[in-house]
Amino acid sequence: MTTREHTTHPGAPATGLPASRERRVPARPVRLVTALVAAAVALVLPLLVPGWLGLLVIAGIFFLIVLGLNLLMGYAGQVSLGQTLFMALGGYGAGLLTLRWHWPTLVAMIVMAGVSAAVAAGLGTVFLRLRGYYLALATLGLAVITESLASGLTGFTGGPSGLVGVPSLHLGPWEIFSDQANYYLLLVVCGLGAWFVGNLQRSQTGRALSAIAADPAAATMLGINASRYKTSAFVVSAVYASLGGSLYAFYLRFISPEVVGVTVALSIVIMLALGGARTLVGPLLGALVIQGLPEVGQSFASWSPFVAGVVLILVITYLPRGIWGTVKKLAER
Amino acid sequence: MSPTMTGLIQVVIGGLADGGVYALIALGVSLVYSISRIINLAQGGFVVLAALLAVSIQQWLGVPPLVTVVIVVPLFALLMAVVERLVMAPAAARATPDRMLLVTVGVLQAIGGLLLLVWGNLPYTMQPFSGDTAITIGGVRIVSQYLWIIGALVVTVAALWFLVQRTSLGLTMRATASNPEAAALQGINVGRIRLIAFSLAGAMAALAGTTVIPATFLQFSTVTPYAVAGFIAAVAGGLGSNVGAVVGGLVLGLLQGLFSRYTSGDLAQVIAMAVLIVLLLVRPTGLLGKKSEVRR
Repeated sequence: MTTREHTTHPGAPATGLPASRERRVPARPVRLVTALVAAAVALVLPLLVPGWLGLLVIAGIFFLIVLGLNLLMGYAGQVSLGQTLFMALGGYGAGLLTLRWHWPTLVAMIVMAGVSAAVAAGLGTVFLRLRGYYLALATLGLAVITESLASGLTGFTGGPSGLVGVPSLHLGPWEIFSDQANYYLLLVVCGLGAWFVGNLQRSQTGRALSAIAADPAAATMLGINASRYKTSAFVVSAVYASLGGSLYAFYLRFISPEVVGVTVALSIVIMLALGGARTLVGPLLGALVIQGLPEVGQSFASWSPFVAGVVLILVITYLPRGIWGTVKKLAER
Repeated sequence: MSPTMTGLIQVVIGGLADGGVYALIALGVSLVYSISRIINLAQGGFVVLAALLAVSIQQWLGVPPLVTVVIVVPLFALLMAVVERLVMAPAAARATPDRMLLVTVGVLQAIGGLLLLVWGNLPYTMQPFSGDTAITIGGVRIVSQYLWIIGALVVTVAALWFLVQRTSLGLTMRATASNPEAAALQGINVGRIRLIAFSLAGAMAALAGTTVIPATFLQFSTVTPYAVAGFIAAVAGGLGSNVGAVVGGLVLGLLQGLFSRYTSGDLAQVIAMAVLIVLLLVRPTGLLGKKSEVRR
C-alpha cells in the first residue's frame, strides 16, 4: 500500500485543517535512506556537540513522553494534561524501589511501567467517558494531585526537596552513568518507541484511532470498540511517560515534585502542539525547542518562559499542524 | 465558645476568603465561556499580573493601597480587550475549541514569563486596604482584608446580575450566549459583545488580584495554582452559570481550608481535587450547569 487515508476532525488537537484527500507516502527505499541518515547523524552528534549532551538527554526523555501522548492526543484526539502522573509513577516508583528495597534498576523500571499501564487502564475506563474540556479538566486534576502528593507525602517521597541518591541504571555489567551513555541509551529507546508508534499509526489500530477522533458515533457503527481503543492508547501513553520518568530519575539520580509539576504537564502538551501532532519528528522538534530555549544564552534564560508562551500562541493560531506538520506540508507541494 | 469551635470558624472564614478569589476568577472564566465558548485558562494568570502591578504602582506613586484598585481595574479592562483583539479573536477564527484551550495555556505561560522578567522570582505582598486591623467577634478574629475580598465578590456579582438581567446590553449578551449565530442574524454585533465580555473578565481579574494581594504573597509561579483553581471552580459550578461559578469557587476554597486544618496543605489539595473529579464523573454538568454534552 503506497497510499493511506488521512483523516482529520474538528476535535483533533493538532490538525484542524480538512485534509481528507489521499496523500502519497514516500516509497519504502526513500524512507529507509532518510531513517539511516537520521540514525547516522544521531550517532555522531555527541562528537559534534559534546557540550549539549545533557540537553539532548533531557530532550530525548521528553521526546519519548510526547511520543506516547501523540498516540493519545494526536491520533485518538483525547486531550490529557495529566501525563506527569505516569512520569511520577515511573520516576518515584523506580527511585523508591531501588533506593529503599534495593531492587535491580532495570526490573524496577519495567515493573513501574507495568504499574502505570494498570493504573492507566483503570483510570482510562472511567476518565475517557468524559470529552473535550471535561477530559482536559479531569486530567489536569490528576496533574495537580500528582504534584501535591509528591510534595505532601514527605515520609515517602522526600517531600519538596525530593528523592536524592537514586542509583544510575544498570544494564547487565554496564552502568549507564555518563551523559554519553545516557544519550545512546535514549537513542535506542526513543528509536524503538518511534518505530512502534510509526507502525501503529499505519496499522489497522492507527486507522481505528483516527476514526474515533474524527467521529466516535460513526466509528462505533463501523464496529470499532471506541472505549477499548481509547483506553489502549491511554495505556501506551502511560507506559511511555512512565519509562521517561524512570529514565529521568536514573539520569539525574534525583527526582522532585518540580520535575512532575503541573507546569511540566502543560509543557508536555505544548511540545506536542508546537512540534506537530500526528507526526514522529514533531514531538522531537517540540521537545528540543522547549528544552533548548533556556540554553540559548545566559541572558536569554529569563526570557525563555515568555518566549515559549508567545511561540505557542503563534504556532497554534497560524501553524495548526505544528512546526513539522507545516514543513511537511510545504515539502509536499 | 470553645477554642476548637473558634478555630473551626476561623478556618471557614479563611477558606471562604480564598474561595472568594477563586469565585472571582471562575466568574470571569464563566462569562467569557458563555459568550465565546472559549475557556480562558489564563484568567488566573491575569489575577497575579494585576496583583504585582498594583504592588509596583503603590510603591511608585506612594498612594494608599485601596487607590490601586481604581487604577488597575480600568487598566485591565483595557488590557483584556487588547488581548482579545490581538490574540483570542485571530486564534478563535482559526482554531477548534480544544486548540483554543492550548492558546490560553500559551497566554498563561507568557504571563508567567512576563512576571519572571519584570518582577523576578521573589514573592510580593502589599499593605491591607484598612491597615493591619482585624475584627474580633465572640473570640473569632477576622482579618479585615478578608472582608474586602468578600465585598469585592458581592459587588461583582450584584453588578453582573444587574448588567445581564436589567440592561439592554445584558439582553444582547444573553442572546449571544444562548445562540451566537441567531444573535448575529438579529443584527447583534457578536464581535463587540465578545470584546465586552473579555473586558469585563479583565476588570474582574484586576479586582481579584488587587484585593487578594494584601492577604497573601504572590509571585510568577502562583499563576498556575490560580489558573487551575479558577478553571476547576468554573467547571465544577457548571460552565456558563454565574451562580455556579460563585458556588464552585467558594466550595473549592472551603474544601481546601477545611482539609488543610486536618492534613497538610498539599494533601488538602489532593482531597479537594479528588472530590471535584468524582463530582465531574458523577454529575458532569457541574453543580448548577445545564448543558448535557459532557459525556458520550
